[in-house]
Amino acid sequence: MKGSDSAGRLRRPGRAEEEGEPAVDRLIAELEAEHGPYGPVGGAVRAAARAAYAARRDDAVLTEIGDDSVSAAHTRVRDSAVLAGEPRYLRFDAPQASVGLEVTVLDEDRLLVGRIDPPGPTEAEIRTAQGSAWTPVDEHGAFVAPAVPAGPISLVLHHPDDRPVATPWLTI
Amino acid sequence: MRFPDALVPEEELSVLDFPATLLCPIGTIGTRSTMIGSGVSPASPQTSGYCCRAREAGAESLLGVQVADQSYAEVSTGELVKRALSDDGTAWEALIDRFAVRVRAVVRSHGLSPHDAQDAEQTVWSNLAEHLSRIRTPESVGPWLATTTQRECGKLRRLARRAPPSAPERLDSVDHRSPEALAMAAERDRLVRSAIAALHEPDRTVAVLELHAPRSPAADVAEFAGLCVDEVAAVRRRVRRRLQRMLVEQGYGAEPAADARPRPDTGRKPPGGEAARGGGAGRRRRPDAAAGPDRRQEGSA
Repeated sequence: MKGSDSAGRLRRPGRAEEEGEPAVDRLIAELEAEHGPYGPVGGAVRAAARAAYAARRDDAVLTEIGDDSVSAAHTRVRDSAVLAGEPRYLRFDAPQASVGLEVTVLDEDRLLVGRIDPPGPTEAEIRTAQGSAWTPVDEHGAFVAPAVPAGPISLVLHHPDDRPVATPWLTI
Repeated sequence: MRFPDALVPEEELSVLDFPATLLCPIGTIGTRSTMIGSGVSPASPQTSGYCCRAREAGAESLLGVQVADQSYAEVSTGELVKRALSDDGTAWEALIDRFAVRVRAVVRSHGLSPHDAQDAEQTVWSNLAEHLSRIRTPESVGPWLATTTQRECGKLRRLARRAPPSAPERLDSVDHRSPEALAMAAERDRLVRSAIAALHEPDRTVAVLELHAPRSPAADVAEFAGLCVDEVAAVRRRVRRRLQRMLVEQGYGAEPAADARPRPDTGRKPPGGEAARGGGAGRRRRPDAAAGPDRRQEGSA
């Protein structure tokens, strides 16, 4: 009885203090996130970097971005590249393979339609900051990935008996 | 490891690192980084000098940098890359900390939205993870990061600039009025205004209130026009009748004119009676119909 009483009495001022301080605590947390011992790297950025580090494939054939409709110079006034609703077209090149990718914006999600040439890989892994999604690749090398969250992604095309083909990370 | 970078003496940073990496066109930066890597020894001041400076200042211990990082403060960037490659998560974190300020500085210089800026940073770090084993000169991770960030930010800026498609109903609708109709509406507005101006007080105030604040409460009208509340209804009726007569006299409204001209005479001169009562509703409606469009025109004019 006495113990619980004293504990209650002890706890009460502490709790009152906590209740009075949440704004300050939040401020301190924000300041810490910005300038604290963790440096200027935000939690989300660090988490994404960690995820990418864990998911890296040092054995994969890394492609380079060969073509990106966003970077292409506009040839006409009403070029499709200047409209947000139009798909973005990308091509990734590696010495022995190339991957074409169409990215369509659907609100917060992205629809990916891709094709690898020459066909061969059987599965496409879509790496995101939140984890990987897998989708099958058909015999012609085509694959579809609906509802990919916006943000940085990278593709890894897994070959049953060859090195996988990976694309660099890019924001979609 | 933000602070060591931030504490670098400005002249050293500005001469050796930032301008070269930030201002170089994307195409030429590769040659510079390979030049550093191949021509200069790994311990060259370009890549490791600013870490030493910070260490001398004792910044880590003063500013409370994590102990785990402290052991990496003395490790060269190339060594960090090597350790990160052998699945040393702490080395990877140390690598991020070492170059976080530089990446953020480049991102911030592009004026992206906070969301895009975060995406850019995430993409850059993810790309570094993927490129760890493929970077030819591990000591030049810094310039490589700056270039990659620059390129990614440029893309995001171009993506953000793409025009969002707008729904047809949000576009300006087509104005179908002909110039003739506009001129006639303006003429009618002028007639109504001059008719109101020809009235005497308090009728003029009541008419103006009818025009600009239709169906105002009687109390408000009474206050504005200096009338008793009981008088308002009668004055309103009188004003409407007078206005209508004046407009008809000036030739406004071809089709109400044919039917309205006899009305004021029959309705007004014989006092009260069934003519006034029978025409009451009609009369009330007719000035509305005549003045309604005027009001709208006045409002838009």
